[in-house]
Amino acid sequence: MDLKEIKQLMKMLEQSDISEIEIEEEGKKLRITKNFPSGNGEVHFVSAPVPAAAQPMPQQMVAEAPLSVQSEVPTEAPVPAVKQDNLVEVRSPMVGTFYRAPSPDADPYVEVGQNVAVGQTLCIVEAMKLMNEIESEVSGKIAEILVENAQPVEYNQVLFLIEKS
Amino acid sequence: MFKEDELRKLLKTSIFGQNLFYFNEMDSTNSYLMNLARQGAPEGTLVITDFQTSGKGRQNRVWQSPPGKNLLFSLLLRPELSIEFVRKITLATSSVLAESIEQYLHKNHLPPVHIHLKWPNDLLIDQKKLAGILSESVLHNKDISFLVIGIGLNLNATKQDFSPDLKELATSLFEYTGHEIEREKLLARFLTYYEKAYVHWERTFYEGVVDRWKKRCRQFHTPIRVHTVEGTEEATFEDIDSSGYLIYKNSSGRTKQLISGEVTCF
Repeated sequence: MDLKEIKQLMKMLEQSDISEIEIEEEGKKLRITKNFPSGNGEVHFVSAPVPAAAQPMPQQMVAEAPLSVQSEVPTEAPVPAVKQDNLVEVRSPMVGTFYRAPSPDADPYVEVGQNVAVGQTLCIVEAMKLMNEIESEVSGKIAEILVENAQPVEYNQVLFLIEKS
Repeated sequence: MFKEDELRKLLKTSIFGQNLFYFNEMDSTNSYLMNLARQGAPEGTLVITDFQTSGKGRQNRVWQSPPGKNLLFSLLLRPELSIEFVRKITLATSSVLAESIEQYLHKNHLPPVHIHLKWPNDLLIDQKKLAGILSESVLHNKDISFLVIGIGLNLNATKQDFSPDLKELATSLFEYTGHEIEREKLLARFLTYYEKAYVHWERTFYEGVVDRWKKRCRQFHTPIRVHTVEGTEEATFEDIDSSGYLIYKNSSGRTKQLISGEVTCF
């Protein structure tokens, strides 16, 4: 995202009744918030724009629930439920095919409601016959599995929601 | 029986194969090495066997190989670069394996063979499978904790060694050269060459991998059948893009990108 686009976003924000915009793109995150009542936009880079090659996905980025819904209702309580804070998104590090089990006749790695530990395998994302096991970064309970077995997934697509313990 | 001492003597590597495990028989070299890797085995650790009881193909298919005749091994890598670069490693490995085999034959004054590559992980002679590569990795976000390259290479198997359903689909170097291949010698050559190549890829962000692979691909503009989770379609092989994905045109003329799936060539 370039400066021009950021300026456009700030302008849009100023003219709207939205208080905050948050955008995530290629591992970079941008949050623009509006200070009431002055309406001046403020830009925060949540994570520094580092080269994609060397970039570990910051934990807090995965951990945050989508804010767009909340930001449209700025006068209400900012967080709808305490539980949301605990939800960690597990995203696909690459484009490929999502597999829930090591082979078609094997049991899935994890099921909804199951407790998982840090380092436990959650799924496989396969591309060009490279089978990539995705491990859990947190310990907690599988709250949701968002992709069906053997379906294509995009880069950064949310695969699981884990309720952090 | 594989002579591991012989391999050790022949190896001219600094890390590949220096930590070596050999078994007469085991379930799968990839599974065993994945476990070793989880316990902290160093990069370059090599697992070789004469016979696999459940050799892995893709998605639970079995890799068949008669005891003591072919090469079945897995090598542990711990790449520094992230998955968006290293995802081309299967293509990269295919090229180096093909070149190593052709060099081995040349240096040992054996009849030459022409090895072609099939997207994304097979080595072929005359459309028959000579070798297959199955890579497995563990990711933490985009970073690779470790990566295991598993290779099954048909060297001295004869027609009688292949099961009836594989006879027309698979081949070996022996079938083409009429000479027994020294497994230790060929593996040492490959590992030496592969180590150099790997160091280079890691320094150059796997640049040039796709072009090198394309030189050995014969499928351009030929009809293929594409099998994906969405079904099977007749298509024309167009190209391999810079990410290593297959570009094809389906029967309605639409250009598509194949990231994971199977291809049948004719």
